Amino acid sequence: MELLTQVVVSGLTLGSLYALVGLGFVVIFRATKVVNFAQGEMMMLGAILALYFYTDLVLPYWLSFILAVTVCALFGAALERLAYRPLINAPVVTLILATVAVGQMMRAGVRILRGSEVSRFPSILPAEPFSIAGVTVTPLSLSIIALAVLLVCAFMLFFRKTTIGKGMEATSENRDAATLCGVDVHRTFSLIWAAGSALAAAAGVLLAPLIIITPDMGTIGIKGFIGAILGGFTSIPGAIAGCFLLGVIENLGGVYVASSMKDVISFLMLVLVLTIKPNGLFVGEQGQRA
Amino acid sequence: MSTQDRRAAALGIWLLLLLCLLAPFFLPTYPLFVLSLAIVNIIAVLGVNLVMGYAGQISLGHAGFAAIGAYATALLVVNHDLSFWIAVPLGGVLAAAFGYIVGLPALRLGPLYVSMVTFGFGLIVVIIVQNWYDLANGPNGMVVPPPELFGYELFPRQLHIPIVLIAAGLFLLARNIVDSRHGRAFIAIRENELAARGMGISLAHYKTTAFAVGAFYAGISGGLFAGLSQFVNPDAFVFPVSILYVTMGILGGIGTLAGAAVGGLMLTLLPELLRGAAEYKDFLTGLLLLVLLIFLPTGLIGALRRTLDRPQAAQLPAPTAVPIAREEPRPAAAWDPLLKVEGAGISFGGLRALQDISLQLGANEILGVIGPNGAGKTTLFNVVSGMERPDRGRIVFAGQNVTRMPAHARTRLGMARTFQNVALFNEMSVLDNVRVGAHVRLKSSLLAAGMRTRSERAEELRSRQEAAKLLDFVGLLPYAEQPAHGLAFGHQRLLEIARALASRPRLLLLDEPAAGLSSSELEALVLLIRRIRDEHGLSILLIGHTMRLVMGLSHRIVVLDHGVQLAEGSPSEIQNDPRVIAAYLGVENAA
Amino acid sequence: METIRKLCLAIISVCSALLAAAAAQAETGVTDSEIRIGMWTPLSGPVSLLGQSARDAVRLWAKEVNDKGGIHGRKINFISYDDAASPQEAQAVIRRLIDQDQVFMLISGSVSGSTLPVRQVITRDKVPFVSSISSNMNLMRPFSRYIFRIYANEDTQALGMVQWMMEREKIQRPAIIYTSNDYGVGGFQVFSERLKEKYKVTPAAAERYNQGDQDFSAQLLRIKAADPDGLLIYAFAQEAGIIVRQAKELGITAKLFGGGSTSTPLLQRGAGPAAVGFTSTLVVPDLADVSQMPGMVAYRDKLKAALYPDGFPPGRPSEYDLAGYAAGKVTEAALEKVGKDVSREAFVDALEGVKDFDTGVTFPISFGKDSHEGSRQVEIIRVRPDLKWESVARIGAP
Repeated sequence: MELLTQVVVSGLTLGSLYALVGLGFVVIFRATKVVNFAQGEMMMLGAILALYFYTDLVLPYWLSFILAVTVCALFGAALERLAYRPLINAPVVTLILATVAVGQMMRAGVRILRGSEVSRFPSILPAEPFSIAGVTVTPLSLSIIALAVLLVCAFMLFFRKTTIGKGMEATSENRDAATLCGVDVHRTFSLIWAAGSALAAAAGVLLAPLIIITPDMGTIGIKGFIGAILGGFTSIPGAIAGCFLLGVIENLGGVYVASSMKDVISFLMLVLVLTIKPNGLFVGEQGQRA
Repeated sequence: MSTQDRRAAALGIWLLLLLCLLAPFFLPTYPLFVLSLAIVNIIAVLGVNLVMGYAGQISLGHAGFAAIGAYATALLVVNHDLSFWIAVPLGGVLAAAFGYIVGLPALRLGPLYVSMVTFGFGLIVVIIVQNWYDLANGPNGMVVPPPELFGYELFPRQLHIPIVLIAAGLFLLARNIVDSRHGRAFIAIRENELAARGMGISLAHYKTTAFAVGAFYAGISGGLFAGLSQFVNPDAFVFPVSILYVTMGILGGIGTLAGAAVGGLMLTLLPELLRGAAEYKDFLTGLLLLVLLIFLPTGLIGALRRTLDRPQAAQLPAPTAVPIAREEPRPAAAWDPLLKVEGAGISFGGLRALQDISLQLGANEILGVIGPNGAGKTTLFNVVSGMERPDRGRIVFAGQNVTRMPAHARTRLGMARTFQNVALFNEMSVLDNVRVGAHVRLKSSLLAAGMRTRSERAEELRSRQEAAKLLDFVGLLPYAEQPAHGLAFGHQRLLEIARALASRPRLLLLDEPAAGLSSSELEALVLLIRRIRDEHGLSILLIGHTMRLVMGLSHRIVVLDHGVQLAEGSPSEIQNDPRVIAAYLGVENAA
Repeated sequence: METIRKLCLAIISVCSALLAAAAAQAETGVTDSEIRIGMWTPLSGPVSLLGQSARDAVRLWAKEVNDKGGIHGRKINFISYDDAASPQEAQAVIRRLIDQDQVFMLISGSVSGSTLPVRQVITRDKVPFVSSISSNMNLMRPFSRYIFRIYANEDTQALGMVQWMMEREKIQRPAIIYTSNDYGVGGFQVFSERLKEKYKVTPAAAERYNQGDQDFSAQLLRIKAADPDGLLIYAFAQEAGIIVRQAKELGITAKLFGGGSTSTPLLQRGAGPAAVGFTSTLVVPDLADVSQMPGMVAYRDKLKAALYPDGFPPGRPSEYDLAGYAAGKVTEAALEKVGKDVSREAFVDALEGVKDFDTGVTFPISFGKDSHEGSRQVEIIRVRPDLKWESVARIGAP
């Protein structure tokens, strides 16, 4: 029983990582219908930039965070302008491949500049474990879970309450109608890519202390996407819930079935869920499907 | 492409084949090996191309199918002493079986989720062969003995010619499939799923078939790779390999078979050329892919074609010049009424789109359906044609209860439709659009099409002639070879009608055929619809917003308003019905 | 089409020119003035650090040889190609080296995943190969006259670690976590067999993960439930770094040990303070980046002067630098011994005659008629509280 609780708690920690990454995926996907395969790489870039500001330029943590997120947001908007906008009328598969290409370039570019450097982001919170009712946790992982929830709430407010956010929502729901209502779709798309990239960077900085920073750290990104599909893309809370669920499923499968098969288990789970409920677990029947 | 260009292209392909066959006699071992490798890759890319370019499904896990082919071949040869030449096709068939299974979720899911499913599949295959140590040494891989032919061991040098021959055979097979009713069905699905369903194409059948055939090609490619490299290990089938296949397809041009060949060849050679720039290689290939996507979206072959294409005059022989197979006349008025709708109702998320609709349509009759926007006219059409399933009520067509029958099966029974917003297969030629319409009447199997049997060829010729005749009937014959999206709007409407007629329906469903037409075009349309009824002897269910069309053509008219059947009667009765005037005509007159 | 034809023609003409040149000489890859030596190795992608280390080392060695006038008047012509650690590319590249470039011998090689697939080609064409990256057992199975290895293979490394764990650290309940690739599985097999045969113990837990994973909590939770007092982490340094940290975060108190791939400074960079006390094996006598052994100091100075005047890239120089350099040194010694009249067979004979050869940067290397494993020694190293590695002991020929 103690093991089970521990498994679930660790699964939730893992799920919070996925949720952080998954959120950026969802924001971009809902508006553009593009699975951004470069999202993980943007996360990696955010982490590396923050590391550079924090350790090399010795800036305060909060400033490093903000700078990294800002640079990535600008970079995301630039990517949209240079790489994705020319393809706006192309089939979606072309756009997906474009993101694959961008991801590869980012990975390779970082490797050219930094070599295969492995770094760890110094944690600003203690990572010493302590036990609650036999379950071992660290302040670091707890704060990551809290931050993930906080970030999601902040973004939901942003989409519901601000004009820019509402414009993005409208564009996500119906591009043509949004145009008619006076939303500048081009500008909104830039904003969406910027927001998605900013989220990825924030996720990267937050989870860097939990994993390590390498050019290949972005591979975790796709898990966030899978979690989001599992929960349901059309709603942000659904997607986030899916990410947490995926973390727990992976750990349950890894502990109670076979640890090397946990990816297999989560993928089979995904296929099963999609076959039964194509809109995702936590979304009603009315949701549109991509 | 003109006949001349086509002949030049064919000549080029034959020359290339000859060059590849003769390569072992003049190429040193290393370039020859790279060429063999490229050809093996091309086979896999052909598979990707069939799935992506023709059926419009995204596969990000094709290396997984190649792995299945490679491991099946290796294990059959090593553990069961089977000949390599039997093991490779068996590996292909096994991969095809997996392709079929992977294709199943595609039926319910959008293309993006399909890409995730294939991505996961590719990942899982690698994880399993890596962890299943007893199967094939897990990550250490297994040695494959050189393939034997007539007692001789074939090392890469000797294996080259068999590989070229197999690739040529598979290329021919792919071309035949693409050029058949099955290939047209693939493209139709890619171009417009809705319209494809309307033409009686079973999406379930064709999507899974596309995956199975695509996986078969990848499986064969994997098997040949095992024989060529005489070693298989999981590292050879990781995700970047799947991406490589897709990139090869896009580079050459998705949706063209020659593109697969060109893309496969170039991207196998590219790393050899970039060996010197190792540190920048990944970056450069990424950049190359991105630049190609932006500037050459149709790939090298597509770009080549665009520069070659010249505006052309019609080249089809006049339809009277060719002998036309006599149409077997339909048994007239075998069922009366032909169509019965009994108490049909349907709701969408609590909104009742149709309530308790009942109507009948006799043989050779034209029934008009009118009503204001949002009255449920198109929903009624969808219920009749099988695009939507009613919550309540029954639909009887040609003596059969078809309420639960899918759209494509109804088309087979003799129902055909056009769409309110023109839904053509844009990239296909005008003629091929009509031939897709005849899909349900053509019988050749996939295998017959691949082998291009005598009966299949005869059937294809016949369908071509019939399609030409129908085009002549609607006056579009001069545009037969043009892509459909190039037609003027009025002509697109006519093409939709010709396409619907190609299935030789008993019942034609016309959804607002006059929308967007000029008044002279409208006159011609009225005449055409009359001629259709008289000459083809069928019944017509006609939705119209334009009073002139419906009133002038219909024997009887049904009026819908907010999903409710408001009135039914002859045109004159309807025109004088006060409820109708209030609900509908009043609005019309005011506007 | 035109470009392809031109490309083909270009390739053909280059190849036939090379063929003509090849026909004129006595032994493949050897002329009166040069010896061609080839390398295929990952220079791009996630494991490029290994390949870049080996390439730099061999390049440096070749430069030294050439600067002093070559071997018996022949200069080294060193050719290296990237294989991106892809088996398919390795297949093509190995043929380029052997058939087109007509190299006399191969040096260093690639990671196991793209060395094993081409092993047959090398053996069949009888090209001598001095390996300095792959430590996979299957490189020598079945035994080939033409393949040599510089440092301790996986079995030796794992055996050394097991011996250290069981005899010096007195571990009662050993557990293992390993990666599901050739490297990890090989380590696991040796680990469990040795425990059973020699120490009559079965592992308390044995967990596997897949390469590229970034979360190991599922595996570590199972291990924690088994309550081991020693955990062997058979993983690459990046992943091992996360495993070490997560193990501490989940409250695992067992002593931590690592396979040979963890003995790099990259481990502590990933693991942080959790790495203190982590013990690993090293296949060279000391740490390449900090050692004060004269041979290693000299190597660092020469590498810096020749290739990296502005400082080393992260992770460099590594043990693969040293092994690559040693592979060059051994080759040089054997070629000197062969004399003016070089042939592949004579070169292999000379290599088999190498005894206790001191390269200055590795353990002494010996080959024999039926033993092509150059060294059976490993160094046990441990992470100090200041997060630097320190040498603890040396284990030889278990």
